[in-house]
Amino acid sequence: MNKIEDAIYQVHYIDNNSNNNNILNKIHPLVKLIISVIYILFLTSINKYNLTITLAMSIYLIVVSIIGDLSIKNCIKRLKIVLFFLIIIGIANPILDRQVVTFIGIIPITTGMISALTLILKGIFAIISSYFLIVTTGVENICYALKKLHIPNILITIFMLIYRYIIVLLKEVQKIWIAYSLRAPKQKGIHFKAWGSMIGSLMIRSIDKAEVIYQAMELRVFSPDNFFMKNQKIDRTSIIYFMAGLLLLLIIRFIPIFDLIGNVFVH
Amino acid sequence: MIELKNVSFSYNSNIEVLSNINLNINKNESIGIIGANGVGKSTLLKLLVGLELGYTGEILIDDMKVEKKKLSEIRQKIGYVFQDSDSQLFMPTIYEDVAFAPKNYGFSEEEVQNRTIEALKNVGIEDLKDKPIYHLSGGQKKLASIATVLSMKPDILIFDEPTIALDPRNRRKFIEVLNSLSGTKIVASHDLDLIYDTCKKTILISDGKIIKNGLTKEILNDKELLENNGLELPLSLIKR
Ligand SMILES: Nc1ncnc2c1ncn2[C@@H]1O[C@H](COP(=O)(O)OP(=O)(O)O)[C@@H](O)[C@H]1O
Ligand SMILES: [Mg+2]
Repeated sequence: MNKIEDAIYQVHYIDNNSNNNNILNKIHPLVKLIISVIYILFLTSINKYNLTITLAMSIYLIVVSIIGDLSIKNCIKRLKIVLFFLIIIGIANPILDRQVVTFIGIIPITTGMISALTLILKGIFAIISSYFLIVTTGVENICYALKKLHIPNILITIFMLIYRYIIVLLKEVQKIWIAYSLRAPKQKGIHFKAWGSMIGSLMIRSIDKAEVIYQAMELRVFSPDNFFMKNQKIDRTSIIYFMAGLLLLLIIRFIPIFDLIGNVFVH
Repeated sequence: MIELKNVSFSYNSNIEVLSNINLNINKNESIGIIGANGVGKSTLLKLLVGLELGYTGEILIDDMKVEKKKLSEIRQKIGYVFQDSDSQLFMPTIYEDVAFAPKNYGFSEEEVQNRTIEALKNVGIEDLKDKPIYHLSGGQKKLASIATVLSMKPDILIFDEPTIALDPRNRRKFIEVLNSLSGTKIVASHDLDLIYDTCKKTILISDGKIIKNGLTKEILNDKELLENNGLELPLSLIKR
């Protein structure tokens, strides 16, 4: 139960942190959004066997974490459940793809192992970069940036609702969890036989809840045109951030820096 | 200002939840709606803000018929406070939640801020403005919910079972705040002491019909009438 409470708190924490006054928070939301999207596009475009370029993409995250005074460690701690699932998905690869490419000592390295590693790393990097975006920008501001890009209101609203919905979902999980553990005090966690009905009731409850929240928004005259709009100018710092960010991304994506550094040592 | 003429309503089945409701509520009146559980109090409130449409008869708010195309205009006039505060509050902090409606009106940042602070002051929780909703007590959430609708500056305030989750002290605080607010107020509750302390007039509903409509003092003193309709005399009246 504590874990769920923590999770709820962390979702709120992400929101709160975006009001802090560090340099990254002052950069125009649109700039941060575009840079993050380019980063993820570059990341996904890397060949699945190209481990060195994938590793080099971490440089961007390190730079952002330094500028924004963000802790990668905390981020990983917060998102460990998601990361755990990524690893599970990645692990299927070596089983399916067993062609041996080289040996480290006597251990055979297969293409499957390399692609699993790049897949997991790409996933982790994409998640960390999205997390950094949300932490430094806040969901409302991201919605504003999307609006600037002329994304239709309906999609932006759905995006915002999905984000809010995570909180609703966690709260419902917590209630069910408490009700369950009060009636089965000796058990640690939830017995697997109860999972099915529990997930069913979770779905029904949270759909109900989500509907009520949407009603609450409608009653307060929700209007995406007004709500997501505000007039923040793209200032010089934001332009410089954009240029520098783009340059950095181009370099780490298209120049095999790690290979070059390696070559220097070999020769 | 609020007029219901021959209003009947049913959810999807044939059973009428409300039948033949006729009602007039004047500007700046405070009205209690009482009745046992399941008689249709919440349904009546939902009809007023168009959360449920598809009723028969006529509902007029300031001479505007409650129908789909008028909803946005009508809802600007009405502040609806949900029974469950958790459903009412959906932004990360109190401030942002209270600022939600003014932002949606498209006001300037300054105006948004003024309205938000004023609303928070009116319910006395200005000092909590930056707290995450998740850290609030039940009483604080209720006050925050009220602030979120006050920032709309509505003419009409609607409360559905407002005291149901409050302890005695928060309940008293809520009553104080409620009495300090101006405008038309409609309070649905089976907390008869609450109605006694806040509403001049009362409507008694039973089985979807208005059984009695009159002064609160008279209705809440009528032991037989209340008991016949699944209610009891308010505690404060029994002692006297
Ligand atoms: N969404 C709904 N769908 C179907 N029936 C409903 C719905 N909401 C309420 N009802 C039914 O309508 C009747 C009146 O409910 P409600 O207005 O909530 O009563 P009250 O607020 O007085 O307790 C009840 O019989 C209830 O079961
Ligand atoms: Mg009700």
